[in-house]
Amino acid sequence: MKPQKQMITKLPVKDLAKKIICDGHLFLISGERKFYLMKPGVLVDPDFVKKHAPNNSTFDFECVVNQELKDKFTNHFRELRYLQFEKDLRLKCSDIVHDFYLHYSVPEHFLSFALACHEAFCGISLDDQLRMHETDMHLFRKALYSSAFAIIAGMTNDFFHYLMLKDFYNLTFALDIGLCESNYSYYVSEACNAENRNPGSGRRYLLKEKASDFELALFLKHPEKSYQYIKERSILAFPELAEVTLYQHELTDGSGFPRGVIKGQISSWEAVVIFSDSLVEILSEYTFEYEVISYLTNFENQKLKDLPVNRVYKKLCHAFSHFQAMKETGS
Amino acid sequence: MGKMNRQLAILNLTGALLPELKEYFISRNILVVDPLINSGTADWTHIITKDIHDFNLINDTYDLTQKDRHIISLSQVSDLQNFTINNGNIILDDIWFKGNLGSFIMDKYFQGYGGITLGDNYPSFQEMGSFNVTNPFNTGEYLDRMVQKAFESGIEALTLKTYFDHLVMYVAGLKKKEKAGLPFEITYGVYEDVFALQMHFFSQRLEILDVTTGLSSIITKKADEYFLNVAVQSADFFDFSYMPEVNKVIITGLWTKDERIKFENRGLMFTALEAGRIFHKYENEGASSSLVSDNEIPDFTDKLSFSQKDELIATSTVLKGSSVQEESSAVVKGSADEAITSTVVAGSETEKETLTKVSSAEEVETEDEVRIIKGEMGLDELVNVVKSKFEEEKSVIRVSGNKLDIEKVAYRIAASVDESTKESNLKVRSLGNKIPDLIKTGLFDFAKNLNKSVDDLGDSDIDQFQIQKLPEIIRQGILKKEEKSAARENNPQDSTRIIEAKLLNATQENDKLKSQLRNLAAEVRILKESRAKVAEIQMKATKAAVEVVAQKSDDPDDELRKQFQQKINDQKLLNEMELKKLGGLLERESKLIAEVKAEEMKTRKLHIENIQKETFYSQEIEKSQRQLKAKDLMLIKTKESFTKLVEKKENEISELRQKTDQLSRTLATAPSQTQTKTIKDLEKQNANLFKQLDVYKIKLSSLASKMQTTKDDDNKDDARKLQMINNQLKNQLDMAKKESEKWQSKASQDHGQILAMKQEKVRLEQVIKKLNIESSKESSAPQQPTVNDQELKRLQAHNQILENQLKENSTKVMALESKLQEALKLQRTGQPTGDDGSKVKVTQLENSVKKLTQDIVESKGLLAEAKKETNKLRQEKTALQNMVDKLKKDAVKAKAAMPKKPNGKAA
Repeated sequence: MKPQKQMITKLPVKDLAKKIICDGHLFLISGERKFYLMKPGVLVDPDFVKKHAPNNSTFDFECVVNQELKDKFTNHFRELRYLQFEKDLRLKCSDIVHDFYLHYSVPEHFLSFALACHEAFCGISLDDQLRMHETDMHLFRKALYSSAFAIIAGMTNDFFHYLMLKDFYNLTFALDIGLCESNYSYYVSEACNAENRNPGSGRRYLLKEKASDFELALFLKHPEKSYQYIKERSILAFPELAEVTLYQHELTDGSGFPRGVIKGQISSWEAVVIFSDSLVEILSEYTFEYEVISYLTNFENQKLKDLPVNRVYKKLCHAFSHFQAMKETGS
Repeated sequence: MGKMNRQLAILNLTGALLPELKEYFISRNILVVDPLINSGTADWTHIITKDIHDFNLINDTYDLTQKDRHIISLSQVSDLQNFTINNGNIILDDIWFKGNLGSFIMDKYFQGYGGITLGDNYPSFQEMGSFNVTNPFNTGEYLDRMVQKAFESGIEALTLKTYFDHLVMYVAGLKKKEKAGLPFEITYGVYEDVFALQMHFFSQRLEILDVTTGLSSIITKKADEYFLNVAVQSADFFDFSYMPEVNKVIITGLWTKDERIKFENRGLMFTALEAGRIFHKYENEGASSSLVSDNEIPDFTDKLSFSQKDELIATSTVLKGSSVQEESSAVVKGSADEAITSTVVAGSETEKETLTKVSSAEEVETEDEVRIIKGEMGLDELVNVVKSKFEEEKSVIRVSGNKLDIEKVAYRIAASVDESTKESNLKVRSLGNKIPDLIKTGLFDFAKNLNKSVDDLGDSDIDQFQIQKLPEIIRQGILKKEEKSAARENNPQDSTRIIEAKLLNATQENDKLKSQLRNLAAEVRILKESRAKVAEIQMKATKAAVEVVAQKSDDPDDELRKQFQQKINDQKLLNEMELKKLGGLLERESKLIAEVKAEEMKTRKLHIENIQKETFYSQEIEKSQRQLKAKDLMLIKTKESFTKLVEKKENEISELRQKTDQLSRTLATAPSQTQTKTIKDLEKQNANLFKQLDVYKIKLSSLASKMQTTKDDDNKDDARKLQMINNQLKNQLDMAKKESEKWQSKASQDHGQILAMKQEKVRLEQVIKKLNIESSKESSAPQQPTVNDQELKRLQAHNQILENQLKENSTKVMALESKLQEALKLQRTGQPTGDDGSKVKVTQLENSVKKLTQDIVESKGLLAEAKKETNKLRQEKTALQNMVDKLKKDAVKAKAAMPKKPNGKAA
């Protein structure tokens, strides 16, 4: 259920320049016509700002982010960062998930949480984020939302350490960064979605659509490229976690890619990343943005048949049901 | 591990197997090989031992490392390091097979299934909790929660805590070595009376050495050497599994409430699992997040006293009979050689899954093996003999990094077929170019032994050759190559020494075995004696019984009995006396009957005990005989191998001798051109070497003489050196003198200038005085200029200042002069004498030179300042002169303006 329209305000270009990620709808109203300029959850293009800065232009802006909520989560993450003892960490994470549950069971835009996560955990350089954004705006949005999900999935699966959660965030964000090349196309993105929905079908989709060899190579090699990226940039506090990017598309029967090795038996932390990645599709309409909790509790995907991923999902749902029970009893 | 690809066969070195274990092997179609019957021919994969502690010997005797065979011990092992190094995988006491866990663990071991979660590894277990360790030093709360659960389950939680702490520290040590990755994921749960704790983590480069080094039983300062050992000793069963496909290590500890499993019966298992072989899915596992289970941990300190009570109870409890609950036990069906093995978990409600297929990939040759088969490359070029890490004597033949399956490759080489054809029945078909000479000669020899030519060999002969002879021929060939290369590196003397050392070792081992044999023989003798004693006792007992019967025959009661019998027969009545007698007789009889019954019971008991003892002794004797035979066999084998080795070496030595003899003969008889050349070369080399020797001798003698002279002239040299230093210092002093003279001359010049300036000043003063007088004269005139007076006053003051400055400069110059004089004095006094105290003087001189140089620098600075001052003074002087000139001109002008006196003179 989408909430009522927010108030449209005038946003000067200098205020837009302060934002990294757009937190609302940006457009220009000319007479009766509306020219749409920017979506919420996309990077604010520096070239766009440069172009309009000399004229001191103002735009029509409809904000979708609850600033108070965003600040609340930002504070939570800041506090989490400096906690040391396991009990304190667990209690803080419990608070965060509880707040998440309470706020997102009412129509609240998920972007508030995603922006707070981006501020607190993102370790990927702005250039690389721009590269991702320029390759495909949806690919960037997918990375932004799925990595925010990784934080909640990690916390509900008993990972409370700040650095570990940060690694989950960056791993999920950079999982598809290997796709950011000139050969990226609509077919590649669709193949990614197909692979996500039904593991093993991405390659078949590309062959069916008679994709070029370059597209096929890009799709089949992207886990290795993402792995290389993560290794080279050393963005992880626990570098051994980078392994998951290599076998995000490997299957237990050896029919996956890029190497076709048998890679079953994934640990729960690996399952957290894989599950979070499969929560958001590249080209979908992002229906979850206002209905996150119901989206999560009714989520269905082929990947959930994988036992460790299923366990991660169950733990997430268990935490939500617990908070729901708490809400109903008023305790 | 590839366990599934080979027919499982076990060499039994324990004698009689436990009936449950026997049953288990039969149910799983596992062949148990008796060492006395067919240990040599059967291709067994495992070896079962009991009460054996020297696993090096077992490994040497049965080539465990080389043939990838593994040890299963049915009793505790004293040295875990030694056990694991020698392919020891599992320690499982007989007692485990009384319950349902024994067969399950064996299934898990043989089939290599399992996964990274507790449900995958031990499917019957119900998960009670899980947590992740991201900081190994921050586990307190989790551990408390786990211990709480263990207490609730009635498990001895102190051992659990010890186990966990040591295990986490061991893994943290691995992390420090970058061999383990965070997080460590931990799951714990229960199944009936068994508590399980499982940890898994990412580990990329784990080696067996990392495990064995942590298994030391000696507690030292290096805690990481015994952490794992403490953990192993703290659990009832310890399972260490590695999944190479996903680079993960899974460590499981089990604790049971079963009274039969004690400290000395605890088990251990090391396995390599195949990824993706999950055979069970546990629905409830992982369903609860610890985020929401934040209940307070109750205080269980009172439980600590309970543990002591439990021990007391445990000592008084009677062992219960084993009640195998078939419903809950895991039953693995299907033999190991089947391509697809399905595992069904009976009693569980979960879906039954079909297990993985055995990939045929492992049966395919590697590229290098194909090259060998095709004849493109020789065996010598590609085969590497890899020495064992732990023992140099052991080696494995490897091709392209993998272990070479000699049997398979030999078979295909002999058949000389293309790898792509993949024929199933391959035979030696030709003796073409592609077949190596080694095989050809082997075939010729084989035919010779059969008194046939190669062409006459039948299919069965060729089969026999390929199966029996060929692998051995190739192995021998490779080993020969290796030995040759080794011989090239070491000279024959070393090799004989090695052989001697080996022989020494062999004789020592032989002695050991002999002593063991003697011990066993003594045991057998004791057993036989005890048996004889038992027989003797029995004999004595029968004799005693006979004697008792004989004694009883003389009893007076018999007469009474006869009397009463007679009266009964006559139908006569008994009087009171007789009745009393009858009553007494009856009492005695009844007592006797009771005694007899008791005796009978005793004899029966004795008989049963005797039978039991007999059976026990016979079993023991049989066991010891088997062990004896097994050890005899080992001895024979080792003897054979060593005699073979000695023979081989002797042959080699004789060959070498022959060769040397031949060479010497040939040298003695007719030297060829090349030999003469080499002789000439050698002579030349010899001459060169002699020359070099002479040169070195000369050098040595010269060095010796030099040494002698240096020794004699040591003191002189010192004096000379000192003299040299003295001279140098003198020169430096001369230089300093010159410098000071220069500065003196400069100072005198400056002094002269200052004097000249003084004179000039005096002159100027006189001029000013004159002018003053003139001006006073003029003051009488009405138009007297006051400006000139003021200017003069100012000049006078300035002059005063200049005088002061001049005075100061002159004092400075004086000070400089005195300093220079001091320096000169020091120069004069600092003359070297060349005596013993010259060194002290030299240091004094050095110090004085330093002082001088410092003074010179200072005086230079002062002079520079003085120069500046003089320049200033010059400027002042010129300015004053100008002023004086001006005043003069003014005065002249004034004079000219004044009215002339009558005498015609100007005022």
